Amino acid sequence: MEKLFANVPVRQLAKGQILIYEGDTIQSIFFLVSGYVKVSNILVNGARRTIFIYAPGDAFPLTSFLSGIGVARYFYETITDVEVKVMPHKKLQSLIQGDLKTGEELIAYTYNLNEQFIDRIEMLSERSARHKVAALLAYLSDKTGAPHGDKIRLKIPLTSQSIADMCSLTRETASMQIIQLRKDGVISGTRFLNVDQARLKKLVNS
Amino acid sequence: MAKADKYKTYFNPAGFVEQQFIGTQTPESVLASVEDLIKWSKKLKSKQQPALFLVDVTQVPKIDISSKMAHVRQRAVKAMTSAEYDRVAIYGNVAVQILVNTLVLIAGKRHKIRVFSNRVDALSWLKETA
Repeated sequence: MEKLFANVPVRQLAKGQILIYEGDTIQSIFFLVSGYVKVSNILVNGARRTIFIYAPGDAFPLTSFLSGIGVARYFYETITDVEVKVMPHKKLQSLIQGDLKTGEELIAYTYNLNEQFIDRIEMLSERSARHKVAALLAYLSDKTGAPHGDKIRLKIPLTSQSIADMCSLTRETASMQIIQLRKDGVISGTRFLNVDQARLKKLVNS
Repeated sequence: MAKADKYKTYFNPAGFVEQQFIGTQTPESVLASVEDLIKWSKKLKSKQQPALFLVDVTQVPKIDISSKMAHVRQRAVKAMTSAEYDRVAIYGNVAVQILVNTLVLIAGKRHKIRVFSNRVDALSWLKETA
C-alpha cells in the first residue's frame, strides 16, 4: 500500500476534521501516514456510532471504491492530528490497470479490512455492556496499542462518551463499566488507557 | 460436488446468458465457468447477437482469495480483456464485489463489466443496452 502512495505529498490535518461525509461520492483515496481516523454512522435515534478505527498504514475508503459502490457509507473523521496522503481515485485506477500484482495486494488488504469490519459489527451485538466494552478494548489494543511495561497502552485518547459511541451504549452505562474495569485491574490510566491483556482475555472469554 | 454442479450456464429467454454459482468454488470450477462464458460470447457474436451476461454469485458462501486461486484470477483478467462481449453484470456480496471489481479495474473494462449487490440493479444496467 505504501508503495502505491510513495510519490504523493504528505498533508497534515488537525484532530476533529471530517474527511469524508456519508453519501459523498468517492473522489479520493486517503493513506494514513500517522494518527488515527474513526469511521462512524448516525443511528435512527440520532446517536453517533463509531464502527471502525483506521491506523497508520491503512488506506480508505478502499472498500467503497473497490466494491464499485462509489459512495461513502460512513463518516470519516480524524481523532488525533494526522498525516495523510491523498490520491484521486482515477489516479489509483490508472495505477492498478494492467498490474495484477498490485491488484492482488489490494484485494487481500481490502478483503482483510472487510473481515475486520464484520468482526466489529459482531462486537457491537455482544450480549452485555461489559462484554461490549471488553471486546472494544481488545480491538483497540490490537489496532492502536503499543507495549507499555507489562501492559498495552492505547494510543488514542478515550472518554466515557467515545467508549459509549464505539459500543452503542449510553455514556452513563459506559462510565459504570469503565469504573468496574478499573476496580478489576483490567484498565488503568486516564486519557490514554493501559490495558492488562491477561485480565482482558479472561474477561472476553468469560 | 462435481464441477458441473457448482455452476450453471444457460440462455435466459429475456435475451442474455445467465450463470449461477452454487456453493464453494474450486479453481477448476471457476476456470470452467470462464471458458463457458467465452464459448457463449463466441456463439452469440457469430450469430451477430448481443453478448450480454448476468452472473449470480449470491449463493457462494465464501470467496477464496488465497494464492491457489491466483492463476484463476489471472485467467479471468485475460478473458475480460480478450473475449468479445457487450456487457457483463455480476451480483453478489461485498467480498465478491471487491474481488470482481478489482479484477475489472486491472483489466480496464469498467465500462463493460459492473458488479452489483442485487439482481434488480444488475439486470437494470445489463438491459440498458437492449
